[in-house]
Amino acid sequence: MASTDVQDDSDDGMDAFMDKFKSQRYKNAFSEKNWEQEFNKIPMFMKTAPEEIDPKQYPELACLQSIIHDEDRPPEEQAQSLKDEGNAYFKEKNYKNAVVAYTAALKKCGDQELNAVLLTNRAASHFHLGNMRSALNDAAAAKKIKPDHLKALIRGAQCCMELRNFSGAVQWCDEGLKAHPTDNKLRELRATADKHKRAAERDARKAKAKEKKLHGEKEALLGAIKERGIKLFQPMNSCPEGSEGEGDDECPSAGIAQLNLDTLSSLEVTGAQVFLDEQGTLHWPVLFVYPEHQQTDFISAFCENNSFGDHLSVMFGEELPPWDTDRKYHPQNLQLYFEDEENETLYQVDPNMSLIKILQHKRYFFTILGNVDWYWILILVLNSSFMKFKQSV
Amino acid sequence: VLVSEVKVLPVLLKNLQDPEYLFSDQISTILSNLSRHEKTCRTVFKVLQDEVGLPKLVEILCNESYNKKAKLHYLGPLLSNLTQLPEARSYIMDPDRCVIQRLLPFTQYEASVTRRGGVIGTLRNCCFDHSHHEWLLSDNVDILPFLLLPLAGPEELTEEENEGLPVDLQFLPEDKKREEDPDIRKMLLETLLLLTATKAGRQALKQKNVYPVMREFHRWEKDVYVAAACEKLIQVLIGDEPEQGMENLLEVEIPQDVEEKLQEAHTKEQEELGKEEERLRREEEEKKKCEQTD
Repeated sequence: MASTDVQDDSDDGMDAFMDKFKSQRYKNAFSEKNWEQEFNKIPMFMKTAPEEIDPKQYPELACLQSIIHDEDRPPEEQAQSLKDEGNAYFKEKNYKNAVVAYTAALKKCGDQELNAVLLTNRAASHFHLGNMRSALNDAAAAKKIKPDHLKALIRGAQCCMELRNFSGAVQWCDEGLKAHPTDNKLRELRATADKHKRAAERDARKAKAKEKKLHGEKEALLGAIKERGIKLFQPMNSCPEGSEGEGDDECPSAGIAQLNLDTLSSLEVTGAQVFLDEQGTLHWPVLFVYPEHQQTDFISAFCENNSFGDHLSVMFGEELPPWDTDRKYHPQNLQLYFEDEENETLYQVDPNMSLIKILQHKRYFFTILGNVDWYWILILVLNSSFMKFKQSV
Repeated sequence: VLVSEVKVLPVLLKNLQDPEYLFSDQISTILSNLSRHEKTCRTVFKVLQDEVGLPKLVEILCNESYNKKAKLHYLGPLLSNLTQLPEARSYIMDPDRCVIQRLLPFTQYEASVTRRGGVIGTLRNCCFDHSHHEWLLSDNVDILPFLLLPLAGPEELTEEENEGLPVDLQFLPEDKKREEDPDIRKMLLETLLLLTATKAGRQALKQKNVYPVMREFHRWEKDVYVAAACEKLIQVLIGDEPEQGMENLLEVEIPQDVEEKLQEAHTKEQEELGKEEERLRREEEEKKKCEQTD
């Protein structure tokens, strides 16, 4: 309102003063435009408080603040008003500031009762901020001071739930129910926590069962491979000493021994893997390499009982592939080889033999090359120039 | 005798509460015996309520390590006896409290047959009150898994059957063992049978795939009496719904002559079961003899 000069006690002065109003216009009145703004500056009519209170802009607010936070007031009172401040922030969902207020209050406060309440309130603020661990710690501290403090007990259980510690939640509820046996919230919380706990136990059992099944499948696969006497070789792990002569037999088995289930799992990475079907037949991924044209074909599941001839007649029978510009890749013209890496020679493969017989060839080692393991085979045209090249090597 | 009891009981109960008391086990057995017959049970209950309170008794029972010097397993049968009284049952099944829920895990309590049997007996008695069935089968208590787990085995069920089971019965490990004591197995089956009294109960049990569990159980069960109890349960689970007006099996009015016939049939059944048991026993002996002579 209009600021007044020092007021005269005399009536005359008063009369003169009052007369002024009749003649002079009212200055600094609220206009339509600025009345809301003006009102907002007055602490009592403020809708929202400013974050930072600049004493120059809002002198009244600054005044009020300093009264509230006056260091000369007794600490309990200070703590109490800080608590109120925190509660006010909490109501506005301004949880960050609420935490600050409660923390300040805790510093001042000596009264245990109040401390328990402050800690519980701070726990609630942390809870709504998503700081579950801090909330849990506060709730636990409150519980320590006052073991039957209902709100703290409920909050503690809720925090455990959010942290997925369901057994912990049940424990909190049980403690709570000891003190407050008929509290509905605690009872419901306990039922929910118990339910989640048992569901989590089921999930753990399920995962274990799945893992076991997978493990069993891998073992069966490994067993089937070994059974067929297919030699396995891992280039990374070098064979032990004495790999000549009898070592030859030992080396493969060392290779097999090293082919444990972990390396078999690399099979899944490529998406193509050896697998054992229901009839106990193995299916292998096979890569056909055509070095003359630098092409490849990939058969992801080549049944071990089939022969290459079968596949070739399908692949090259009706139509020749587009890259075969010379039109030479007729099934009867083709020769197949597999590579013996150790001796660096090529062994010719009879297209009429079944895959399994070829794999069992004593010089064939199923090689695990990093992430890739498939059987690969060279296919060449009979009497081609490449063949001559190979022979010369 | 009753009069002297009344004087003795408060002292006994007071000592029972003491976590250091050396003879709490003996007290438990005494109380358990005293509470067997209804009349004395009432007295025990009254004094219990005055001195200790049923809540405290349950608390002690559910706390394995309450008394380091005594096992307190006989509190199980004591509670079971007490629940023959409706007042005890209504406290245990108070929906505003969490009492019966605490007892449920003890259906698989391996450390003591006595305690386990006592708890299961308690649950069975509680299930006589069919007005509580809906609540018992609801999530608030969820009594069913705890009754089924001791009867469930490691056999694998089909995926479809597995899906419908209560969570606690899914993916049981390979080494899952069933309840060893045949009397307890029979009690569990009786409890389940009680839960089928109401239509809602029957539906709940059918929905939760109790039948496959019972099917596997029946295959495994060797005791003739327990198997018979199982068959009764299976009969309800796979049978048709009873006619209108008879949905609550516990409330159905049985005319006199029918009742007599049923009684006769029951006695006959028991005789036959006894004979069956004899026959099986003789077979076992024969088998053993043959094995010895070979």
